[in-house]
Amino acid sequence: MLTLYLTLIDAEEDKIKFIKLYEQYRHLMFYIAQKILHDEHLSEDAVQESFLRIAKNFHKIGQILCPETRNFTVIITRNVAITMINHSNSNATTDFYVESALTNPSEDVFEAVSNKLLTESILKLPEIYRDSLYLYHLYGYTFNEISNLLSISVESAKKRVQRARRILKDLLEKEGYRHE
Amino acid sequence: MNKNLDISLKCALEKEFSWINDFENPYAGYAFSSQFKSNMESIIPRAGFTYVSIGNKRIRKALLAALIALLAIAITGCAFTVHYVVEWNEKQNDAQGTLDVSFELSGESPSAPRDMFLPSTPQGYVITDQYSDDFSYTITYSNPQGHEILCSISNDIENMSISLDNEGASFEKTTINGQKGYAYSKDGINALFWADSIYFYELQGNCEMDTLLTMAGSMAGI
Repeated sequence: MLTLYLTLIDAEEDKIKFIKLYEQYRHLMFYIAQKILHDEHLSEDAVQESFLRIAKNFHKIGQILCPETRNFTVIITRNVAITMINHSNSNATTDFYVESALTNPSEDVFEAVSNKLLTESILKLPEIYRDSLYLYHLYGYTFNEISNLLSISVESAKKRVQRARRILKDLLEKEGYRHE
Repeated sequence: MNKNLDISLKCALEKEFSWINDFENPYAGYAFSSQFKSNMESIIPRAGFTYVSIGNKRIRKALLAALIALLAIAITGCAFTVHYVVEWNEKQNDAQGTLDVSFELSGESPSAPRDMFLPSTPQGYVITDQYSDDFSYTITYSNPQGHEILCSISNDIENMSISLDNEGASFEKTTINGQKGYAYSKDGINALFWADSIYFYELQGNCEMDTLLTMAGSMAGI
């Protein structure tokens, strides 16, 4: 059953807003790309690709001049640059479908630990998983939208979020936390 | 919604990127190439494209207008029948040692919409976790011997893909409940994958394959 609803976007306003985003963050994004790629041409490609993905999913961008939007541009650029470098090294990140760890942690696990421990554990996650959690939980993107932003399949987007939770639980257990 | 996880993610995000607050960018004066600027001129208008949302997809308004026009023609003058079967697009990825599969819907429709049938709980197992969202339903089963089984049912077939590590794996194409599927084994993990025209099904676990086959059989429906 299809649910049809209309979301009208003022095209001219959005273009102006996007130009503001571009002018504000293009050098920061270039720096991020350059740190990973060490090549100005590739870094420009990465920045361009990042802006393209953001443009296609521009509807959820709020204020331009805020840390939230700034950090979002860094996350997207970082992911684009890492993907480029993995492809060039024939070492692409692949979401292998079958794994030996199968459980999807219950949300109670994260409620029972301290904020400090959970924050530190989040920062220990590999970037691709940490970014998926940011995009899903903090920025409110759906799996479909995350798949467009990171240029991965919807299933991979889901798996990354699930896997991130699983790895997070494992990290918490290594710190001595046990969920009964 | 998990409040502590959300708060911790916010703290982590702020901490991770706090260095940018006092950051002196060595590329602040970098002059982008003319090619880059030219490419950006074609990207900028995309932010202003008018989209409409249909379910969980976003398409351009102009495309939607064309689709509605076609639909109107079909309703007023033509027989209109939805036809679809699931096509499995398989590609061996030698670089990664995986079989990559994506899906397309085409062909003949089923006679009636099909309900989703959840598997019966295998003997000796209990359900230890359940999760559902707009796209999937996931159940985890466990037994006292430490075996776990994951059942996942997804309704977004066309946007799905799977990547099977088939190096050193036992892998065969099979039929499950009359539908095309795969039976897969590697390193003590067994898995079954299959799809009908509505759902993609996955059963995997560190249990016997027979257990998964029995569960799959219980999902055939009546």
